[in-house]
Amino acid sequence: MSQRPEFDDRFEVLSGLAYRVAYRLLGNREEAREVAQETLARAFARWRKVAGYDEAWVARVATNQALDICRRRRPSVPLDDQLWSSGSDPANVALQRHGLADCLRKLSRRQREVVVLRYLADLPEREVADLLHTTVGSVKQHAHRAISRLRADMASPAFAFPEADDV
Amino acid sequence: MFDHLDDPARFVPDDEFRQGVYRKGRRIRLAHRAAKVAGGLAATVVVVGLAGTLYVDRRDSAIDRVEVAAQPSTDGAINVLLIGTDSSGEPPVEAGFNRADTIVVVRLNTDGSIGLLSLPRDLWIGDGQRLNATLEDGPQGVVTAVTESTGLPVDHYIEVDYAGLTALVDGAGGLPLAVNQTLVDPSSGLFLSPSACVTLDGETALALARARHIDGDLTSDLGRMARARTILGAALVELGRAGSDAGRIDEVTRALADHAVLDDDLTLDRLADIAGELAQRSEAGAVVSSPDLPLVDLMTEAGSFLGLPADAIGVLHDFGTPEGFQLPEVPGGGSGGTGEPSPVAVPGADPAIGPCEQAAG
Repeated sequence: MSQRPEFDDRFEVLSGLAYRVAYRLLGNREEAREVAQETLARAFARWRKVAGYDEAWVARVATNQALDICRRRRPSVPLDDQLWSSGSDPANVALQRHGLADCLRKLSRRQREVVVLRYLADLPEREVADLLHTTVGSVKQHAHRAISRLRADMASPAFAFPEADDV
Repeated sequence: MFDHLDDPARFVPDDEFRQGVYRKGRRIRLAHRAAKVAGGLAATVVVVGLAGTLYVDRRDSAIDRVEVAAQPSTDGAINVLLIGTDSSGEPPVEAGFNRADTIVVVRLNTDGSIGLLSLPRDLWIGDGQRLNATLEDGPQGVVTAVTESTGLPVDHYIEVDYAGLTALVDGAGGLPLAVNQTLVDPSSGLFLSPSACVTLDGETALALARARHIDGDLTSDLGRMARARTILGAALVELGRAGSDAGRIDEVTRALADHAVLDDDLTLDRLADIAGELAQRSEAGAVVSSPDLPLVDLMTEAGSFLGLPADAIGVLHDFGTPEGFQLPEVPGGGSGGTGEPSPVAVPGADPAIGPCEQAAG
């Protein structure tokens, strides 16, 4: 007989998670903080229903809010190959965020779930598999395909994502 | 992998942050209650003022959306492309992979009728590809495959995993269906006796949608296609009915959030409109046209597929494919070994299930 955890007990973990997810997509502290707060507020409002899968829910809602902000504040940035370099100088990082956001909005439901939970929320494979009621192998496959797609969309060999298998 | 994108400063939720969470959270709870009183999916718009900021946004951002360059209708009708995915129950090699298991076009015609068209999973798309595999390229992959191989317009995209069907049906309060014959399929756990109208729960609806080996039905996948579109059509109608029932909205939107992906333009309002329209037409006894698409068997080096023969164009025209659209050429080589694609026998017009007859008055 499992007890539903109290929102308070999960507060720190969940707010950290929401912030990380939002910041990776937005690269802006104020915005990420806003998204985290909004997401946690919503989790609080629906806690009874969310408690059973809180990390997955928070990751999803924070992602969607961040994606919404991305869409609204930026016109399409053409991904100019010349701007690419391996390394994390600001221009490159901003483009990576944008590319990631762009990519997420084109994935099928399953692929998106995996990318959000594995690469934005940093949840381990086993946990992602459990949350999505599937196998670790399936999670790896979806992750691999999504990253290949991301690389292809970015169209630059210098784009420094490690192999999905290494993670 | 993306930790280089992280904030170098560690995030610490301070008191101000925490208090903000509780303050906003309480406001949202109030707004939820007000919405329940006001009633209706679309009524979330009405509640905007109360919560202070966009209430619709709050509720909506739990739902995943995708960017899809759709091919909108130009004739005033609306085509919704409904994709059902099944990430379980498949043979090991396919378990968890992205496959579009069920592909249905739901059409709101300008004359007030409803159209339901199933496209086969094994539809030849060209280059040794089949329709259900195009989901690997994401929603755009499927939409493009559909519009290019059939000419059908696509106005909206809904992708639901089968677990979602269960939640949606239960959230909407069950699925009423007429069952015209005993349906037994041990492999999917299905057992239904004939009934003029029975309300299925989510689990049963799912078993019915998955059933591939119904006793006495040798049509397997094609039979399932016919059943799937009846179920999905009925589910959308029920969604429409649920949309005006305040008690159900929470369940339905939660099911959508957990199991569906909608295109960017399919806001909750729009979905409520479409589903509501379907429900209204259904109540008014609108004609539901659910034709079978003529198909041919194709044997190619890449495997066996189903293709669209020339006479499929008639059905496609009825669903919005423009005049003058050229069906892609199908490769030769039917299963008969004569080099000619052989027509596939599609299930007869008498479905084992159907919508319940509306009670008079």
